[in-house]
Amino acid sequence: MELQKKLEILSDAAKYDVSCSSSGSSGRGDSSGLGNTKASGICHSWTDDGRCVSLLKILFTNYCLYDCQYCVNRVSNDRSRASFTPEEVAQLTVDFYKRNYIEGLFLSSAVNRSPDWTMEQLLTTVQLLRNKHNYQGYIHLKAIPGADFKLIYQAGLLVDRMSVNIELPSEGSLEKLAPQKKKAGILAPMKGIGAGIENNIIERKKYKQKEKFVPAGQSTQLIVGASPESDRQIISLSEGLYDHFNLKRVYYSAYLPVNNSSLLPALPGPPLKREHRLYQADWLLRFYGFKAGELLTPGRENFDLKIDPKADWALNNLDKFPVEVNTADYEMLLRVPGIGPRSAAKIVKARREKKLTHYNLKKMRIVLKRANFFITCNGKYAAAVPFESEVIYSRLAEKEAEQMSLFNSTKSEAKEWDFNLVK
Amino acid sequence: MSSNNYEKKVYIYDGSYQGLMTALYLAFKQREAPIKILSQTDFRDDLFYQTKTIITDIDKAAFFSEQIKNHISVQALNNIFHAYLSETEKLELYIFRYLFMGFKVGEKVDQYLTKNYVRQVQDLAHKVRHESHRLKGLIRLQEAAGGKYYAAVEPDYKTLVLLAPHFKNRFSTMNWIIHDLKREEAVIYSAEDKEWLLIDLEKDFKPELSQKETEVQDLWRAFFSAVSIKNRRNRKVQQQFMPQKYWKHLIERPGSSQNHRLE
Ligand code: SF4
Repeated sequence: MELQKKLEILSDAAKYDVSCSSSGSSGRGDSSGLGNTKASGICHSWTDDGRCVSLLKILFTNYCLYDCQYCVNRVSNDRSRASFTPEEVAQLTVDFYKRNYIEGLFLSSAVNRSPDWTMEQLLTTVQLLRNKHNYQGYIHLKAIPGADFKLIYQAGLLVDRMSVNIELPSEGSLEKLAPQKKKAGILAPMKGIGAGIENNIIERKKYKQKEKFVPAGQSTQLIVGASPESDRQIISLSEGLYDHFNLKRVYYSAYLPVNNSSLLPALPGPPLKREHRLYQADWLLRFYGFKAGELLTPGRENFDLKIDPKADWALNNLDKFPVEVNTADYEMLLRVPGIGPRSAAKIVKARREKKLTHYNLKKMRIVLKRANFFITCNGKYAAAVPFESEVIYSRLAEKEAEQMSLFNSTKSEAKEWDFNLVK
Repeated sequence: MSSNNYEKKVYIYDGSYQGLMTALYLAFKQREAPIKILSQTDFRDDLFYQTKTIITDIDKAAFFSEQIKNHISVQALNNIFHAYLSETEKLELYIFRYLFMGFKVGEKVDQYLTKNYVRQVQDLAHKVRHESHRLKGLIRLQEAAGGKYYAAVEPDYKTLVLLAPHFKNRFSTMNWIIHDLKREEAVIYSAEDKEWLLIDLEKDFKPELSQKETEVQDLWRAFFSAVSIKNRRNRKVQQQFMPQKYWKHLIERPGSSQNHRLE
């Protein structure tokens, strides 16, 4: 088959995977070879659906042994199939990279022949890139569940980031929708990679020359809406992954109905709003000191779609508010809806000099639109509504709806622009 | 016109950054507030004011940069340089006033957002940085016969010198040229010397491409159309991040996913 045809098939097959939005820095590139990795992440183009193109995102093959219900590449699905050779992928990467089309390679694969065979192909590809082509640009590689961990480990020494997609948020759903994958074991390689990263960091402190293992960390992807798990189950899982497997990022992907399967729910469209809430909650876990068990509790299984998870939490814990900005500790300030790490830090610093008023906060360019409902300054409460849960709820929902309509055209893509927005 | 006017001076410099720094240095040193600071090419005979031609002095320029760094901030020096690259009318005077304020209040100058000239300098600098960041992604190199790489750009601002270090780090083992067609200049990098140079290069310069080049370009176009998700088309966002003015030198064709059919 012609290379161009292969490329069309195998990039088309990979495009629904969102777990590669940014390329992290891992300090490769010492000017002896081709390329380097950049911390800020660079978009090289934008697709017609408005997404950033940063990496050559392709499958090595889409011939698959397995029959995961939610996947376009499953064996029982009738579609065009193709496989690259390792040298084809390596050459393509280098050719694109040299022309400044891409930041690097994101290589994933269906499971052809056997997990070991597939993983060997991926390993050979990255070996060619690093050793033969002297390529020092970014590589994100998928680890194939069920493959010998030795192969995965070897590959980990050559790439920047690795990921294993969990896809479904519970064992039960995996059993039902992706039975073969479940047997192959998804968590085992993640655990191995996590441990590998941790050991590597310790060893590199001792021996400077030690090669890096997955220096830009590991990530995974969860499909939202293809199976019945609640948001509470999903963020508890994410929390577990961050805490135990050394994950850098969990990505959430609203289920896009691609197959007709009686096992899958019929959705009117991908649950983008829900996906958005999960990203927000994920953010709260990683940067705001929240625990999954605080955000949602048994009986409150899903996030409110009208207001964000932090506001939702605050309204459910109204006894902790309003917070006095002149005395509350940093951690508590961070929990006020509308106040982020920067604002919280500014407040803590400024109040050493003097007691802060609402006017002072405004001067410090702290946005009070939402925070106002939850704070006092010197005992003064300045929101023009009574301090009652229902009233505040409807005000916040209104504000959010306004904002959403403003950003309507971009919201579903927001996740993929992370690194552009976070300057 | 009174003789009073005649005492006000128009400074004329050679258009280079060092030239501008020399002019600013002299103005501050001689406690003179020029009525205009113009590059030679922008200068039209002026009957009303006395003119003063500045002779670029690299040492003075360097000294003055140090002064700015030490007495105002590194950030301020960056702002000035980047604003200069915008080549906008009157930018020299904005910079002069910005510095005047800067030497008075130090690093806090960037907080004086109510002052028009502070905002102007910051805005211009920001625009230049923004375009330069964009171009780091949007520049497309093509392989010329003989294995060198060539890219043409037509940026709004004079961004080549900001791009050169980035591409030097990334493509340190390749020989390449990035050619600003608008300004008829180019950055040329040699892998052997590991150095880049800014040279004059006429608009019509266009190297012959390698045999393989069209093949790779076809592959890139195929990839670009294939990765767009059809039922999520959003050309507005695409254009917002990748404005049409840059499309001419891209290899891919925005909008092309419409005709793309896999099966
Ligand atoms: S293993 Fe499952 S998810 Fe992966 S390509 Fe095959 S069918 Fe799709």
